[in-house]
Amino acid sequence: MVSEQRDIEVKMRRNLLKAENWLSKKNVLTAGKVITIVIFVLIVLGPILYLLLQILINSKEINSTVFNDPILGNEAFLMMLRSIGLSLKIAAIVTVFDILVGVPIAWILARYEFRGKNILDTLVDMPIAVPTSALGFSIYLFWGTNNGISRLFNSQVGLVSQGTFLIILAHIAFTFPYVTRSIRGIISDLDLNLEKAGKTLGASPFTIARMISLPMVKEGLLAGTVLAFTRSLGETGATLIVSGVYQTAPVVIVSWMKGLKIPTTAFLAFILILISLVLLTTVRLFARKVGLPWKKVFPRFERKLSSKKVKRSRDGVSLFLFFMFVFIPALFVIIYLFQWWGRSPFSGDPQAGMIYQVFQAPDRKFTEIFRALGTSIEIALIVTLINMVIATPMALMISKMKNKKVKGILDLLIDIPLVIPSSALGFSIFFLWGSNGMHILSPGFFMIVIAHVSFTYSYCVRPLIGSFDAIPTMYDEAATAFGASKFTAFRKVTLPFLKSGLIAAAIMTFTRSMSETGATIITMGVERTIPVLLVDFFEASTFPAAAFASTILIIISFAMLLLLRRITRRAKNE
Amino acid sequence: MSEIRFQHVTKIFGKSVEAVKDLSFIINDGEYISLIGPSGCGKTTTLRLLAGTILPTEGEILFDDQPMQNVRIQDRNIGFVFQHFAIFPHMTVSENIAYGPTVRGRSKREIEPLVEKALKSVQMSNKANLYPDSLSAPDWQKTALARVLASEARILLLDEPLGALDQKIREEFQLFLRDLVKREKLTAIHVTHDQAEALTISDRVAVLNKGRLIQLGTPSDLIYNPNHLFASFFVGESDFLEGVIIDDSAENAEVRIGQSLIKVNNMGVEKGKRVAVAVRREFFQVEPITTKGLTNSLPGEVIEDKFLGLLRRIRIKLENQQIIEAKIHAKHPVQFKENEKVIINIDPSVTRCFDFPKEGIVSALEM
Amino acid sequence: MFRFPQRGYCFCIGDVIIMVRVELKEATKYYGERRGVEDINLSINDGEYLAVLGPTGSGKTTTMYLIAGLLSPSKGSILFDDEDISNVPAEDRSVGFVFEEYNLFPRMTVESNILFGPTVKDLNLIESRKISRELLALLNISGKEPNYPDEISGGQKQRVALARAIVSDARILVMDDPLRALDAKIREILQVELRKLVKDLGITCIHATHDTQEAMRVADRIAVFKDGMIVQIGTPEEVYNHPNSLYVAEFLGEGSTIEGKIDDIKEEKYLVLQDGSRINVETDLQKDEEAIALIPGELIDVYPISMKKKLNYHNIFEAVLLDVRCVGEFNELDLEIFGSRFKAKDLIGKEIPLKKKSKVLVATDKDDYRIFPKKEGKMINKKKSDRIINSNTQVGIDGSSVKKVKKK
Repeated sequence: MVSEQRDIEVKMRRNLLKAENWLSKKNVLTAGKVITIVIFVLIVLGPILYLLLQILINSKEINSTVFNDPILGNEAFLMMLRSIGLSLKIAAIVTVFDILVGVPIAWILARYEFRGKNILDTLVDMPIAVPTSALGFSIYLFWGTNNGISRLFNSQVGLVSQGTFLIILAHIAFTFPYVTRSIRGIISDLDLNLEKAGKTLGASPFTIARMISLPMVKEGLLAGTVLAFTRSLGETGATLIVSGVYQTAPVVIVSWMKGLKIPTTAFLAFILILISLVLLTTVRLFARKVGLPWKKVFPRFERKLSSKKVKRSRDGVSLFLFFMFVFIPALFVIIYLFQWWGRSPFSGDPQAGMIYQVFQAPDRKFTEIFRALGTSIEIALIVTLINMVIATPMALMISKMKNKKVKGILDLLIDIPLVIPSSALGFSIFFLWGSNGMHILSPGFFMIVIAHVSFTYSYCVRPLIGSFDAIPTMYDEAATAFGASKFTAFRKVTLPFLKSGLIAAAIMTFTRSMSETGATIITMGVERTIPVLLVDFFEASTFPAAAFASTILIIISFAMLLLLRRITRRAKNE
Repeated sequence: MSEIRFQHVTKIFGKSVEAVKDLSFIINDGEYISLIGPSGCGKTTTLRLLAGTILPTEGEILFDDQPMQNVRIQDRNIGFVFQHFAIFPHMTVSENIAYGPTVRGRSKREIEPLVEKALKSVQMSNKANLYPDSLSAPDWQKTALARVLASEARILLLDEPLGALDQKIREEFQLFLRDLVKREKLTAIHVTHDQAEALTISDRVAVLNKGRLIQLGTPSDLIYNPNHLFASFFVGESDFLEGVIIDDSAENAEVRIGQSLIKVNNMGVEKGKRVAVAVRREFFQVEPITTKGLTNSLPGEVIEDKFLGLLRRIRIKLENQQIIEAKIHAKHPVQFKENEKVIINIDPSVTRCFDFPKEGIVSALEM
Repeated sequence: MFRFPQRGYCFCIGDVIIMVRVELKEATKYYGERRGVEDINLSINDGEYLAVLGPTGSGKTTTMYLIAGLLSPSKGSILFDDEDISNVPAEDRSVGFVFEEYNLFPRMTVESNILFGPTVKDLNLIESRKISRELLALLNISGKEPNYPDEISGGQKQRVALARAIVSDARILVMDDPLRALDAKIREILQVELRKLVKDLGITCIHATHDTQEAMRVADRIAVFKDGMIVQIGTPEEVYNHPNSLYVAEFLGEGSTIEGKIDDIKEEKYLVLQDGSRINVETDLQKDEEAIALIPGELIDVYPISMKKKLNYHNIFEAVLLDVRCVGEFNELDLEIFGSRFKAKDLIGKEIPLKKKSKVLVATDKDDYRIFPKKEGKMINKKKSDRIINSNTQVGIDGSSVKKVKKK
């Protein structure tokens, strides 16, 4: 019996090896690569290309609706220009703030050792994981209502009303981490010995930071800046809540879409995508070439800037600004929830309190909340699964690619979903798959899934490329040199190295899918995910329910973030 | 049998980077060969060509007269040992060793004795079930060697295998490695930048520079009979005296260096030619100016007499302003003073005589 | 000849004008509980080339950092020309520092790297550029100015680092194991170049290394470090021929050790081994004291058995020659004497017709042996004693000591 079983085992193992050997054949591998690229193009790039194509083909229809509408004339175009202008202005201001405050904070996190550093580190990252609609809501409560900051001044109305300024405040909160994150790692990986060398050559700390460290951080900083800028340009969830009558471009897309003005929406989405793509490519192409100004050194002045006093006050101000404009407003919703737990803090009316509104009121909001939460989790899980399957081969391919040009192009293409506004992306997916295009899907569960797959794709591929790159090539060589086929080597050697990288990518994908608003609104049909429900609650002015939903979302994202950090840190220690 | 034959092998990276050029040589079955040379000389490329991780742009590599061009790495029957070990950290020592036969689809019954035998021959039997992170660097390298043995490879490729070990352990490991290879009757190709290691460990040593094979010979060949300027420069330490051949008729040719004439090994260099006479620094015989009876000598002036333990290094300026260094035994009875006039005697049989390179010695030897 | 504009002195090749005397007084550095260095008293004269020799973790780098100001001492002081500079920050000390890993700024060309110091110190750039050109020519790397560090070889990188350190108005040169990362051949060449350059410039130089040969090749004096303290300072000859402890003896000369008891007969001292063999030695130890003797491999002379009558040595033993290997400048001989394995080194060139596995004569003089009391030997090597002592008595590759092999 036993030996029979063993024979079967041996046979199975041999068959597996044979199968892997077949899969490792050159033409099979090539076919695999082709399939990977086809899937990528179909799901991620396809909708965008289709949109661009349609705009060019149907320029007549565009012309008649956007520029020469029989009733409105070019009113739609003017509105587009206004909204895009507003979006660009906001994005610019937000990015400047992010850099000015983000760089010193990244430096603090990378270089100083202090108690609670890990906590601060997690807090800085948090806005990335938290759904922007929850963030926007929290910020609105803090700045825009009489529950928040205005309490300090005993004012009856909010300090900042809905509008441009509030949009800026909201955008600062959720774009902030992009800059810090993108340079923090680089700063802590900088070779301290270079700075020591600079010191022995007579340079003061400020001169060293400016002339030696900054050039090496430059590319990361530019990448982070582009991300922050494009995220601000394309954000929907939070903006819907804080914008009031001031409409940024992505918000206009959503509202036109709701009014089913397809051609004008398409054109606006087209322009937004174009702006983001141009930004992305320019920065990618020229990041290395950007020279640093001010080669000249002013030893005395820079020495003064290096003094402890200047350093301390700079750190203090940055930290204060971070807490004041990012951290406290972002989490204010939790305080609000407790204020309104049982009854209104103003009138004392229990019917205005959260408990009544969510659990006891006849419209049974909690079933709605939990159904939406269920849908969100379901979608996020499916999306994560799909992405793991299609992103891993892509990451492997990019990481192992020898042709530098092709590698560079793929690397750039991967980032596209990261920078284009999610509402524009959602719209192009609707456009391709829905009734106006191939008519395969109608808005609803599956269209949301596709939209999420497409825009979380880069969140999944990026860290995986990093994990593949981190495996020393000698292991690849050692793995195949002893007679293993490429697939066997991958299974036995590469995969174990990749474990934590895969988990980290999965968590990131899951979190992003959970918190997405813009694309979801456009592709959801009658389905509701929880970030969208939050916007609905907000629009219906049921703030306590919205606060309840927000808090749940924040807690989930926070838990995910902690998990992620634990895994990545463990991987690093190994 | 595993005889390796390189036939006019050239490897070009990118468009024009010639990593190795027109490499032709034979490695016999059971031979221990070392490849040495400065970084970028093509030694690692040669090893990778053998392994099959890269393919030659031109020429052929044959194992036992079989061309290897279309044979994949996994089918070449080679074993690889890396400088940084490449021991799989998620497997125990014995799992690492069993990796080769496992991925080749051997059954457990076949694998077990193989692993056991391999463990025994590297003296690691007591550590079979430990994970690599609880072991030291020498043990990692032993595991890597056992992994090759268990995979039943006949050709062992070693890429700076001792580079990550401390000097003392390194010296021990050299002998261990040679014993192991000889006992298991493997053919070994060992890449290193350390000439002492290569000379200690191998049957023959190949000196490479700028992608070309300079000389392939036994250690004593390389020391006593280098056949190329670079070989005599890279193996050991030599000085190159610049001179012109005056007479090439006798067994020892006569060379004029500055004002003096000396006899050197006649290596078929024509009369009237500019030559570089290579002399190992240990072979210069330095004596006080008053010494009589030295027949083949140059006058010089001491710049510095520096004590080095085993020997002393004496820097001497020759008449033609060239500065040479002589290594003499520390027990040499005379202590030389700065600016002291001395005689440097040279035994003609230890000299090597090469055409003077057009671009000058320094750039000819640039690594 | 080139001139440093700011200080008004010149470095003239072969004609020394400015130099700095460096002094460490009871310099001590603790990293929390861990000792970096303790009670370092060291004085380096004007224009002297000092090597700091010791294994990894013996406090070399700490000492270099203390001198350069990259660390400040927990106790004690550092003086340049009798001026206490313990509290002067690194950027104001004008110490040219050369690191093990070159630490060239990767985003700057070779020239910008070299001119970094003059730029941040606001020195006259035209002058500095001239000096840098001359230095690069001296170091045989002219023409590399427009290249980036990743386009040049390791040896060239370290030469650039050296030029950078000197051009930045350096008063002294501090090098922390500068050749460690380089290939053996380049290391050999650079050792000679370094000494020549330092001597030509006449600059005071401190050079840390773990490699005994390197220390001997470059330095005027050697300070041997162990566990954060100085064990011995002296010229290469002094430290090599008169080591003050077993530790120094083992570090300076690779050799074999034997243990025994001292005996004296007629003013002559002998080391009596366990098997009764007697070796004539020179020592201050008294009769019956337990001793350890170390003999460097190169002091063992080996002759064919036929030459017995012609030799004039204090000690002549018969031995079995196990193996002969030619390893470059010398032959390595494995010998079996008194049942232990000895390693002898012999300069090449001397033709000795010796066969493997044959009987040979081993000849030594009495002053070839470095004798240390056994107790002290143990005491000096308190921490890592076993490892260090054994490392020369042929620890087998499997960890078992070959020395234990019994006579057949």
